[in-house]
Amino acid sequence: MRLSVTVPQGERPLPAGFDDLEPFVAYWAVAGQNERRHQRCDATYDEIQRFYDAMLPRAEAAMRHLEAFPLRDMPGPEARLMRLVLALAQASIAIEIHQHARVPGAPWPDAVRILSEETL
Amino acid sequence: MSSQFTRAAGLDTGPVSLEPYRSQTHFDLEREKVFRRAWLIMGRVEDVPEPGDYIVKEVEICGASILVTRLGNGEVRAFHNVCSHRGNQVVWEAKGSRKTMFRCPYHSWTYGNDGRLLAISDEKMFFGVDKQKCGLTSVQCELWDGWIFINLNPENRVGLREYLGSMGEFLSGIPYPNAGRSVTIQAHLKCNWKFVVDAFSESYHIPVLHSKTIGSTFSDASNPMSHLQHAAFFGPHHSISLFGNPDYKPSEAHLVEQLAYSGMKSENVLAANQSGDTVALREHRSVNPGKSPTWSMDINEIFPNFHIDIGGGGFWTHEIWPISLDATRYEMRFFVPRPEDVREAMHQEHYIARLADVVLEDLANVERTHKGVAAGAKHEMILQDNEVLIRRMMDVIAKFNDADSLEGALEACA
Repeated sequence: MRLSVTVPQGERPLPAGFDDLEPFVAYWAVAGQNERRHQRCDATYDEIQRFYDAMLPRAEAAMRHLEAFPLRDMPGPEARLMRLVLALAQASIAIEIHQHARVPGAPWPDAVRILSEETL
Repeated sequence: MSSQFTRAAGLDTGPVSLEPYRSQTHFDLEREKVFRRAWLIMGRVEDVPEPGDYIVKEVEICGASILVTRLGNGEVRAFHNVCSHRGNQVVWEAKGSRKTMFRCPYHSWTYGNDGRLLAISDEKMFFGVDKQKCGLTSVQCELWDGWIFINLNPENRVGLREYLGSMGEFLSGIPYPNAGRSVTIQAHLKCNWKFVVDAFSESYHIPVLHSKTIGSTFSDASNPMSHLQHAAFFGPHHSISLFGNPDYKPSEAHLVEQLAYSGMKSENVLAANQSGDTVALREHRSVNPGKSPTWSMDINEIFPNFHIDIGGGGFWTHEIWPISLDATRYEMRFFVPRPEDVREAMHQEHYIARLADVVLEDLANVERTHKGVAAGAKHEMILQDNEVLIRRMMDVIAKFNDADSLEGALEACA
Protein backbone atom coordinates (compact mmCIF):
# COMPACT_ATOMS: atom_id res chain seq x y z
CA MET A 1 0.00 0.00 0.00
CA ARG A 2 1.27 3.46 -0.87
CA LEU A 3 2.06 5.76 2.04
CA SER A 4 1.11 9.41 2.17
CA VAL A 5 2.37 12.43 4.12
CA THR A 6 -0.17 14.80 5.66
CA VAL A 7 0.95 18.37 6.35
CA PRO A 8 -0.52 19.63 9.67
CA GLN A 9 -2.97 22.51 9.26
CA GLY A 10 -1.34 25.91 9.41
CA GLU A 11 2.13 24.58 8.52
CA ARG A 12 3.77 25.21 5.20
CA PRO A 13 4.68 21.98 3.41
CA LEU A 14 8.28 23.11 2.83
CA PRO A 15 10.51 26.04 3.86
CA ALA A 16 10.15 29.28 1.89
CA GLY A 17 12.00 29.13 -1.41
CA PHE A 18 11.34 25.43 -1.97
CA ASP A 19 7.69 25.78 -3.03
CA ASP A 20 8.45 24.23 -6.42
CA LEU A 21 8.98 20.88 -4.68
CA GLU A 22 5.61 20.90 -2.90
CA PRO A 23 3.91 18.50 -5.36
CA PHE A 24 6.37 15.79 -4.25
CA VAL A 25 5.85 16.09 -0.49
CA ALA A 26 2.79 13.84 -0.14
CA TYR A 27 4.43 10.84 -1.77
CA TRP A 28 8.17 11.24 -1.20
CA ALA A 29 8.61 13.01 2.16
CA VAL A 30 7.79 9.94 4.25
CA ALA A 31 9.68 9.23 7.48
CA GLY A 32 11.92 6.17 7.64
CA GLN A 33 14.45 4.50 5.38
CA ASN A 34 12.35 1.39 4.85
CA GLU A 35 9.32 3.55 4.03
CA ARG A 36 11.25 5.65 1.49
CA ARG A 37 12.58 2.49 -0.13
CA HIS A 38 9.02 1.17 -0.24
CA GLN A 39 7.79 4.33 -2.00
CA ARG A 40 10.56 4.13 -4.58
CA CYS A 41 9.91 0.46 -5.31
CA ASP A 42 6.16 0.96 -5.48
CA ALA A 43 6.38 3.89 -7.93
CA THR A 44 6.52 3.67 -11.70
CA TYR A 45 9.79 4.53 -13.40
CA ASP A 46 8.21 7.73 -14.79
CA GLU A 47 7.13 8.86 -11.33
CA ILE A 48 10.64 8.26 -9.99
CA GLN A 49 12.16 10.10 -12.96
CA ARG A 50 9.89 13.15 -12.46
CA PHE A 51 10.87 13.36 -8.79
CA TYR A 52 14.57 12.82 -9.56
CA ASP A 53 14.56 15.50 -12.27
CA ALA A 54 12.87 18.04 -10.00
CA MET A 55 14.87 17.25 -6.87
CA LEU A 56 18.40 16.80 -8.20
CA PRO A 57 19.00 20.49 -9.15
CA ARG A 58 17.58 21.57 -5.76
CA ALA A 59 19.44 19.06 -3.56
CA GLU A 60 22.56 21.12 -2.90
CA ALA A 61 20.52 24.22 -1.92
CA ALA A 62 18.26 22.09 0.26
CA MET A 63 21.22 20.55 2.11
CA ARG A 64 22.79 23.97 2.60
CA HIS A 65 19.52 25.24 4.09
CA LEU A 66 19.16 22.17 6.33
CA GLU A 67 22.70 22.26 7.70
CA ALA A 68 21.60 25.08 10.02
CA PHE A 69 19.13 22.77 11.79
CA PRO A 70 19.76 19.88 14.19
CA LEU A 71 19.24 16.67 12.24
CA ARG A 72 16.89 15.11 14.80
CA ASP A 73 14.92 18.21 15.77
CA MET A 74 13.90 20.04 12.62
CA PRO A 75 10.74 22.11 12.25
CA GLY A 76 8.04 20.38 10.15
CA PRO A 77 8.84 22.08 6.81
CA GLU A 78 12.59 21.42 7.21
CA ALA A 79 11.97 17.79 8.27
CA ARG A 80 9.91 17.26 5.11
CA LEU A 81 12.59 18.88 2.94
CA MET A 82 15.23 16.64 4.56
CA ARG A 83 13.13 13.58 3.76
CA LEU A 84 12.91 14.69 0.13
CA VAL A 85 16.73 14.85 0.06
CA LEU A 86 16.92 11.35 1.54
CA ALA A 87 14.27 10.10 -0.90
CA LEU A 88 16.46 11.42 -3.74
CA ALA A 89 19.14 8.94 -2.64
CA GLN A 90 16.56 6.16 -2.93
CA ALA A 91 15.30 7.43 -6.30
CA SER A 92 18.85 7.61 -7.65
CA ILE A 93 19.31 3.86 -7.19
CA ALA A 94 16.50 3.35 -9.72
CA ILE A 95 17.60 6.08 -12.14
CA GLU A 96 21.40 5.94 -11.97
CA ILE A 97 22.03 2.29 -11.24
CA HIS A 98 19.21 0.06 -12.51
CA GLN A 99 17.54 2.34 -15.10
CA HIS A 100 14.52 0.48 -13.78
CA ALA A 101 12.20 1.18 -10.83
CA ARG A 102 13.32 -1.93 -9.02
CA VAL A 103 15.95 -4.65 -9.17
CA PRO A 104 15.26 -6.24 -12.56
CA GLY A 105 14.09 -9.80 -12.15
CA ALA A 106 13.22 -9.49 -8.46
CA PRO A 107 9.62 -9.82 -7.29
CA TRP A 108 7.62 -6.92 -5.85
CA PRO A 109 6.60 -6.78 -3.05
CA ASP A 110 9.92 -8.26 -2.03
CA ALA A 111 11.23 -9.90 1.13
CA VAL A 112 13.65 -7.12 2.10
CA ARG A 113 13.01 -4.93 5.16
CA ILE A 114 15.32 -2.21 6.46
CA LEU A 115 15.23 -2.07 10.27
CA SER A 116 16.77 1.11 11.69
CA GLU A 117 17.41 2.07 15.28
CA GLU A 118 16.01 5.55 14.61
CA THR A 119 13.55 7.01 12.13
CA LEU A 120 14.73 10.03 10.21
CA MET B 1 43.01 -24.90 -14.69
CA SER B 2 43.63 -23.57 -11.23
CA SER B 3 42.78 -25.40 -8.02
CA GLN B 4 45.11 -23.70 -5.57
CA PHE B 5 42.49 -22.90 -2.92
CA THR B 6 40.53 -26.12 -3.21
CA ARG B 7 43.65 -28.28 -2.92
CA ALA B 8 45.02 -26.14 -0.09
CA ALA B 9 41.77 -26.86 1.76
CA GLY B 10 42.42 -30.58 1.30
CA LEU B 11 39.27 -31.04 -0.79
CA ASP B 12 38.76 -33.03 -3.94
CA THR B 13 37.61 -31.26 -7.09
CA GLY B 14 34.69 -33.40 -8.26
CA PRO B 15 30.99 -32.41 -8.40
CA VAL B 16 29.17 -32.01 -5.07
CA SER B 17 25.84 -33.61 -4.16
CA LEU B 18 22.73 -31.37 -3.99
CA GLU B 19 20.89 -33.74 -1.68
CA PRO B 20 21.75 -31.80 1.53
CA TYR B 21 19.83 -28.79 0.17
CA ARG B 22 16.56 -30.67 -0.37
CA SER B 23 16.51 -33.64 1.98
CA GLN B 24 14.39 -33.47 5.15
CA THR B 25 16.52 -36.23 6.67
CA HIS B 26 19.58 -34.11 6.13
CA PHE B 27 17.89 -31.04 7.61
CA ASP B 28 16.95 -33.02 10.74
CA LEU B 29 20.58 -34.11 11.05
CA GLU B 30 21.75 -30.50 10.78
CA ARG B 31 19.39 -29.55 13.62
CA GLU B 32 20.81 -32.19 15.96
CA LYS B 33 24.44 -32.40 14.84
CA VAL B 34 25.15 -28.81 13.86
CA PHE B 35 22.79 -26.30 15.48
CA ARG B 36 22.28 -28.12 18.79
CA ARG B 37 26.07 -28.54 19.12
CA ALA B 38 27.78 -25.46 17.68
CA TRP B 39 28.27 -22.12 19.39
CA LEU B 40 25.71 -19.71 17.90
CA ILE B 41 25.88 -15.94 17.55
CA MET B 42 23.45 -13.78 19.56
CA GLY B 43 24.91 -10.32 18.94
CA ARG B 44 27.39 -7.75 20.20
CA VAL B 45 28.01 -6.70 23.79
CA GLU B 46 26.93 -3.24 22.58
CA ASP B 47 23.43 -4.69 22.04
CA VAL B 48 23.17 -4.94 25.83
CA PRO B 49 25.44 -2.07 26.90
CA GLU B 50 24.02 -1.35 30.37
CA PRO B 51 22.94 -3.45 33.36
CA GLY B 52 19.23 -4.18 32.89
CA ASP B 53 19.49 -4.30 29.08
CA TYR B 54 18.26 -7.43 27.32
CA ILE B 55 17.62 -8.91 23.89
CA VAL B 56 15.55 -11.90 22.79
CA LYS B 57 16.80 -14.01 19.87
CA GLU B 58 15.04 -16.84 18.11
CA VAL B 59 16.79 -20.05 17.08
CA GLU B 60 13.93 -21.37 15.00
CA ILE B 61 15.56 -24.62 13.89
CA CYS B 62 15.83 -25.68 17.54
CA GLY B 63 12.49 -24.12 18.51
CA ALA B 64 14.34 -21.95 21.02
CA SER B 65 13.73 -18.39 22.17
CA ILE B 66 16.79 -17.08 24.01
CA LEU B 67 16.84 -14.22 26.50
CA VAL B 68 20.24 -12.52 26.80
CA THR B 69 20.63 -10.18 29.79
CA ARG B 70 23.23 -7.83 31.26
CA LEU B 71 23.45 -8.14 35.04
CA GLY B 72 24.31 -5.45 37.57
CA ASN B 73 27.87 -6.80 37.85
CA GLY B 74 28.34 -6.46 34.08
CA GLU B 75 28.05 -10.16 33.37
CA VAL B 76 26.15 -11.26 30.22
CA ARG B 77 23.88 -14.30 30.74
CA ALA B 78 21.53 -16.30 28.51
CA PHE B 79 18.37 -18.23 29.39
CA HIS B 80 15.61 -20.10 27.66
CA ASN B 81 12.76 -17.61 27.47
CA VAL B 82 10.35 -20.09 29.04
CA CYS B 83 8.35 -19.72 32.25
CA SER B 84 8.78 -22.49 34.83
CA HIS B 85 5.05 -22.44 35.54
CA ARG B 86 3.45 -23.72 32.34
CA GLY B 87 5.99 -22.91 29.67
CA ASN B 88 4.82 -19.61 28.24
CA GLN B 89 7.37 -17.13 26.94
CA VAL B 90 8.28 -14.69 29.71
CA VAL B 91 9.58 -11.83 27.53
CA TRP B 92 7.55 -10.86 24.49
CA GLU B 93 9.51 -7.93 23.08
CA ALA B 94 12.74 -8.29 21.08
CA LYS B 95 14.79 -5.94 23.25
CA GLY B 96 14.58 -3.55 26.15
CA SER B 97 16.47 -1.80 28.88
CA ARG B 98 16.38 -0.88 32.58
CA LYS B 99 14.71 -4.16 33.48
CA THR B 100 16.17 -6.26 36.26
CA MET B 101 12.97 -8.27 36.69
CA PHE B 102 10.78 -10.04 34.15
CA ARG B 103 7.15 -10.73 34.96
CA CYS B 104 5.52 -13.48 32.91
CA PRO B 105 2.45 -11.85 31.31
CA TYR B 106 0.43 -15.06 31.71
CA HIS B 107 0.23 -15.50 35.55
CA SER B 108 2.77 -13.01 36.84
CA TRP B 109 5.59 -15.33 37.87
CA THR B 110 8.53 -12.98 38.33
CA TYR B 111 12.20 -13.64 37.56
CA GLY B 112 15.40 -11.67 38.11
CA ASN B 113 17.58 -10.93 35.09
CA ASP B 114 19.98 -13.48 36.63
CA GLY B 115 17.29 -16.10 36.03
CA ARG B 116 16.22 -16.58 39.67
CA LEU B 117 12.50 -17.06 40.32
CA LEU B 118 11.69 -14.18 42.67
CA ALA B 119 7.95 -14.46 43.17
CA ILE B 120 4.94 -16.65 42.39
CA SER B 121 1.58 -14.89 42.41
CA ASP B 122 -0.97 -16.58 44.70
CA GLU B 123 1.83 -18.81 45.94
CA LYS B 124 -0.23 -20.15 48.86
CA MET B 125 -2.46 -22.09 46.46
CA PHE B 126 0.50 -24.11 45.13
CA PHE B 127 1.79 -27.28 46.74
CA GLY B 128 5.13 -26.38 48.20
CA VAL B 129 7.06 -25.12 45.15
CA ASP B 130 10.84 -24.90 45.67
CA LYS B 131 11.52 -21.51 44.07
CA GLN B 132 15.28 -22.15 44.10
CA LYS B 133 14.76 -24.93 41.58
CA CYS B 134 12.35 -23.03 39.33
CA GLY B 135 14.48 -20.30 37.84
CA LEU B 136 14.77 -19.70 34.10
CA THR B 137 16.76 -22.48 32.44
CA SER B 138 20.28 -21.22 31.92
CA VAL B 139 21.97 -21.52 28.51
CA GLN B 140 25.77 -21.61 28.09
CA CYS B 141 26.85 -18.12 27.09
CA GLU B 142 30.37 -16.83 26.40
CA LEU B 143 31.94 -13.72 24.93
CA TRP B 144 34.73 -13.40 22.39
CA ASP B 145 36.02 -9.99 21.25
CA GLY B 146 32.68 -8.37 22.06
CA TRP B 147 30.58 -11.04 20.31
CA ILE B 148 27.99 -12.94 22.38
CA PHE B 149 27.59 -16.64 21.62
CA ILE B 150 25.42 -19.38 23.15
CA ASN B 151 25.49 -23.16 23.08
CA LEU B 152 22.18 -25.03 23.24
CA ASN B 153 23.65 -28.34 24.39
CA PRO B 154 23.41 -28.38 28.21
CA GLU B 155 26.07 -31.11 28.25
CA ASN B 156 28.47 -29.19 26.02
CA ARG B 157 32.10 -29.33 27.18
CA VAL B 158 33.78 -27.32 24.42
CA GLY B 159 34.30 -23.67 25.38
CA LEU B 160 33.77 -20.87 22.87
CA ARG B 161 37.50 -20.16 22.60
CA GLU B 162 38.22 -23.79 21.83
CA TYR B 163 35.34 -23.88 19.33
CA LEU B 164 36.66 -20.82 17.46
CA GLY B 165 40.19 -22.20 17.71
CA SER B 166 42.68 -20.72 15.26
CA MET B 167 39.91 -18.61 13.65
CA GLY B 168 39.44 -16.84 16.97
CA GLU B 169 43.17 -16.19 17.19
CA PHE B 170 43.28 -15.01 13.56
CA LEU B 171 40.56 -12.42 14.14
CA SER B 172 41.37 -11.46 17.72
CA GLY B 173 41.80 -7.79 18.52
CA ILE B 174 40.01 -6.34 15.51
CA PRO B 175 38.81 -2.83 16.42
CA TYR B 176 35.20 -2.83 15.22
CA PRO B 177 34.15 0.75 14.39
CA ASN B 178 30.57 1.81 15.28
CA ALA B 179 29.85 -1.55 16.91
CA GLY B 180 27.10 0.13 18.91
CA ARG B 181 24.96 1.31 15.99
CA SER B 182 23.61 -0.76 13.15
CA VAL B 183 21.03 -0.82 10.39
CA THR B 184 19.64 -4.28 9.68
CA ILE B 185 18.41 -5.63 6.38
CA GLN B 186 16.09 -8.52 7.16
CA ALA B 187 14.40 -11.00 4.85
CA HIS B 188 12.36 -14.16 5.25
CA LEU B 189 13.21 -16.42 2.33
CA LYS B 190 11.65 -19.50 0.78
CA CYS B 191 14.85 -21.51 0.49
CA ASN B 192 17.22 -23.79 2.34
CA TRP B 193 19.59 -21.83 4.60
CA LYS B 194 22.72 -23.14 2.88
CA PHE B 195 21.81 -21.37 -0.37
CA VAL B 196 22.00 -18.09 1.56
CA VAL B 197 25.36 -18.99 3.10
CA ASP B 198 26.61 -19.88 -0.38
CA ALA B 199 25.35 -16.59 -1.86
CA PHE B 200 27.68 -14.65 0.45
CA SER B 201 30.65 -17.02 0.20
CA GLU B 202 32.03 -16.43 -3.30
CA SER B 203 32.82 -13.55 -5.66
CA TYR B 204 32.43 -15.47 -8.94
CA HIS B 205 28.85 -14.13 -9.23
CA ILE B 206 29.61 -10.48 -8.47
CA PRO B 207 30.60 -9.21 -11.96
CA VAL B 208 27.56 -11.03 -13.39
CA LEU B 209 24.63 -10.84 -10.97
CA HIS B 210 25.66 -7.46 -9.52
CA SER B 211 26.99 -5.99 -12.77
CA LYS B 212 25.17 -2.67 -12.29
CA THR B 213 25.15 -2.30 -8.52
CA ILE B 214 28.69 -3.22 -7.39
CA GLY B 215 30.28 -5.22 -10.21
CA SER B 216 32.82 -2.57 -11.12
CA THR B 217 33.89 -2.21 -7.49
CA PHE B 218 34.87 -5.88 -7.33
CA SER B 219 36.37 -6.46 -10.77
CA ASP B 220 38.29 -4.67 -13.51
CA ALA B 221 40.09 -5.52 -16.75
CA SER B 222 42.94 -7.16 -14.79
CA ASN B 223 40.53 -9.44 -12.91
CA PRO B 224 37.25 -9.51 -14.82
CA MET B 225 35.88 -12.56 -12.97
CA SER B 226 36.76 -11.25 -9.52
CA HIS B 227 39.14 -14.07 -8.55
CA LEU B 228 39.89 -14.39 -4.84
CA GLN B 229 42.96 -12.72 -3.41
CA HIS B 230 43.45 -15.03 -0.46
CA ALA B 231 41.84 -17.94 1.37
CA ALA B 232 42.56 -19.41 4.79
CA PHE B 233 41.00 -22.36 6.60
CA PHE B 234 40.60 -22.76 10.36
CA GLY B 235 38.90 -25.94 11.57
CA PRO B 236 35.23 -25.62 10.56
CA HIS B 237 35.63 -21.88 9.92
CA HIS B 238 37.24 -20.04 7.01
CA SER B 239 38.13 -16.69 5.51
CA ILE B 240 38.54 -15.29 2.00
CA SER B 241 39.65 -11.94 0.63
CA LEU B 242 38.03 -10.38 -2.42
CA PHE B 243 39.52 -8.36 -5.21
CA GLY B 244 38.81 -4.64 -5.31
CA ASN B 245 39.14 -2.29 -8.26
CA PRO B 246 41.54 0.38 -6.95
CA ASP B 247 40.36 2.87 -9.56
CA TYR B 248 36.62 2.71 -8.93
CA LYS B 249 34.93 6.10 -9.00
CA PRO B 250 31.23 6.89 -9.27
CA SER B 251 30.31 7.34 -12.94
CA GLU B 252 30.01 10.91 -14.26
CA ALA B 253 26.34 10.24 -14.88
CA HIS B 254 25.75 9.22 -11.26
CA LEU B 255 25.08 12.73 -10.03
CA VAL B 256 23.29 11.78 -6.82
CA GLU B 257 25.92 9.16 -6.00
CA GLN B 258 28.56 11.86 -6.38
CA LEU B 259 26.55 14.18 -4.17
CA ALA B 260 26.13 11.45 -1.55
CA TYR B 261 29.85 10.74 -1.48
CA SER B 262 30.95 14.38 -1.82
CA GLY B 263 31.55 14.75 1.91
CA MET B 264 33.26 11.37 2.15
CA LYS B 265 36.87 10.42 1.93
CA SER B 266 36.17 6.71 1.69
CA GLU B 267 37.82 3.43 0.76
CA ASN B 268 35.15 2.34 -1.74
CA VAL B 269 31.40 2.36 -2.21
CA LEU B 270 30.99 -0.15 0.59
CA ALA B 271 32.15 2.46 3.08
CA ALA B 272 29.98 3.57 5.96
CA ASN B 273 32.85 5.49 7.50
CA GLN B 274 35.32 8.20 6.61
CA SER B 275 38.66 6.69 5.67
CA GLY B 276 40.37 8.24 8.67
CA ASP B 277 38.05 6.38 11.02
CA THR B 278 39.08 2.95 9.78
CA VAL B 279 42.88 3.21 9.85
CA ALA B 280 43.24 0.90 12.87
CA LEU B 281 40.82 -1.55 11.29
CA ARG B 282 42.77 -1.69 8.02
CA GLU B 283 46.07 -2.03 9.84
CA HIS B 284 44.99 -5.15 11.73
CA ARG B 285 47.17 -8.13 10.69
CA SER B 286 44.15 -10.21 9.62
CA VAL B 287 42.27 -7.52 7.72
CA ASN B 288 43.33 -7.90 4.09
CA PRO B 289 45.69 -10.61 5.40
CA GLY B 290 47.57 -10.80 2.09
CA LYS B 291 47.97 -6.97 2.30
CA SER B 292 46.99 -6.81 -1.35
CA PRO B 293 46.85 -3.37 -3.01
CA THR B 294 43.82 -4.59 -4.98
CA TRP B 295 41.64 -5.61 -2.04
CA SER B 296 38.00 -4.84 -1.37
CA MET B 297 36.89 -6.94 1.60
CA ASP B 298 37.30 -10.06 3.69
CA ILE B 299 34.59 -12.63 4.35
CA ASN B 300 35.16 -14.37 7.69
CA GLU B 301 32.78 -17.28 8.19
CA ILE B 302 32.21 -18.64 11.66
CA PHE B 303 30.53 -21.99 11.32
CA PRO B 304 27.66 -22.55 10.88
CA ASN B 305 25.77 -19.35 10.14
CA PHE B 306 27.66 -16.18 11.05
CA HIS B 307 29.86 -14.06 8.78
CA ILE B 308 31.92 -11.05 9.79
CA ASP B 309 32.72 -9.11 6.61
CA ILE B 310 35.32 -6.37 6.75
CA GLY B 311 36.07 -3.78 4.10
CA GLY B 312 38.25 -0.69 4.06
CA GLY B 313 35.27 1.42 5.09
CA GLY B 314 33.91 -0.65 7.97
CA PHE B 315 32.35 -4.00 8.78
CA TRP B 316 29.03 -5.79 8.50
CA THR B 317 27.69 -9.20 9.45
CA HIS B 318 25.41 -11.88 8.03
CA GLU B 319 23.30 -14.21 10.17
CA ILE B 320 21.53 -17.03 8.35
CA TRP B 321 18.92 -18.83 10.47
CA PRO B 322 17.23 -21.99 9.18
CA ILE B 323 13.50 -22.20 9.96
CA SER B 324 12.62 -25.33 8.01
CA LEU B 325 14.06 -27.26 5.07
CA ASP B 326 12.85 -24.54 2.68
CA ALA B 327 12.52 -21.42 4.86
CA THR B 328 15.23 -19.14 6.21
CA ARG B 329 15.48 -15.92 8.19
CA TYR B 330 18.34 -13.75 7.01
CA GLU B 331 19.75 -10.68 8.76
CA MET B 332 22.55 -8.47 7.52
CA ARG B 333 23.73 -5.83 9.97
CA PHE B 334 25.64 -2.78 8.78
CA PHE B 335 27.52 -1.05 11.58
CA VAL B 336 27.32 2.63 10.77
CA PRO B 337 28.20 5.93 12.43
CA ARG B 338 25.46 8.15 13.82
CA PRO B 339 24.82 10.82 11.17
CA GLU B 340 25.11 14.30 12.63
CA ASP B 341 23.89 16.42 9.71
CA VAL B 342 21.87 16.14 6.54
CA ARG B 343 24.91 15.34 4.36
CA GLU B 344 25.92 12.42 6.53
CA ALA B 345 22.31 11.21 6.64
CA MET B 346 22.10 11.46 2.84
CA HIS B 347 25.31 9.44 2.41
CA GLN B 348 24.02 6.76 4.74
CA GLU B 349 20.66 6.62 2.98
CA HIS B 350 22.43 6.09 -0.36
CA TYR B 351 24.80 3.49 1.13
CA ILE B 352 22.00 1.42 2.68
CA ALA B 353 19.68 1.88 -0.34
CA ARG B 354 22.29 0.48 -2.72
CA LEU B 355 23.11 -2.40 -0.37
CA ALA B 356 19.45 -3.30 0.10
CA ASP B 357 19.25 -3.74 -3.67
CA VAL B 358 22.51 -5.70 -3.84
CA VAL B 359 21.13 -7.99 -1.16
CA LEU B 360 17.84 -8.26 -3.05
CA GLU B 361 19.75 -9.33 -6.16
CA ASP B 362 21.22 -12.15 -4.07
CA LEU B 363 18.01 -13.01 -2.27
CA ALA B 364 15.78 -13.21 -5.33
CA ASN B 365 18.42 -15.53 -6.68
CA VAL B 366 18.56 -17.95 -3.71
CA GLU B 367 14.81 -18.61 -3.98
CA ARG B 368 15.23 -19.39 -7.68
CA THR B 369 18.17 -21.68 -6.91
CA HIS B 370 16.15 -23.53 -4.28
CA LYS B 371 13.36 -24.10 -6.79
CA GLY B 372 15.83 -25.35 -9.36
CA VAL B 373 17.47 -27.76 -6.97
CA ALA B 374 14.18 -28.96 -5.44
CA ALA B 375 12.94 -29.82 -8.95
CA GLY B 376 15.23 -32.83 -8.78
CA ALA B 377 16.47 -32.50 -12.36
CA LYS B 378 20.07 -32.15 -11.19
CA HIS B 379 21.84 -34.27 -8.60
CA GLU B 380 25.14 -32.46 -8.31
CA MET B 381 26.59 -28.98 -8.53
CA ILE B 382 29.83 -28.19 -10.33
CA LEU B 383 32.10 -25.84 -8.38
CA GLN B 384 35.18 -23.91 -9.47
CA ASP B 385 38.22 -23.00 -7.38
CA ASN B 386 36.90 -19.57 -6.33
CA GLU B 387 33.81 -21.28 -4.90
CA VAL B 388 35.98 -23.19 -2.45
CA LEU B 389 34.02 -22.09 0.63
CA ILE B 390 30.82 -23.68 -0.70
CA ARG B 391 32.58 -26.99 -1.25
CA ARG B 392 34.28 -26.71 2.12
CA MET B 393 31.11 -25.98 4.06
CA MET B 394 29.41 -29.05 2.61
CA ASP B 395 32.45 -31.03 3.74
CA VAL B 396 32.34 -29.51 7.26
CA ILE B 397 28.61 -30.22 7.62
CA ALA B 398 29.18 -33.83 6.55
CA LYS B 399 31.89 -34.13 9.21
CA PHE B 400 29.59 -32.69 11.89
CA ASN B 401 26.79 -35.05 10.85
CA ASP B 402 29.13 -38.06 11.01
CA ALA B 403 30.76 -37.18 14.33
CA ASP B 404 29.30 -38.42 17.60
CA SER B 405 30.31 -35.28 19.52
CA LEU B 406 31.36 -31.68 18.96
CA GLU B 407 34.88 -32.65 20.03
CA GLY B 408 34.88 -35.35 17.34
CA ALA B 409 33.54 -32.94 14.71
CA LEU B 410 36.25 -30.36 15.47
CA GLU B 411 38.91 -33.05 15.34
CA ALA B 412 37.62 -34.21 11.94
CA CYS B 413 37.81 -30.61 10.64
CA ALA B 414 41.30 -29.94 12.02
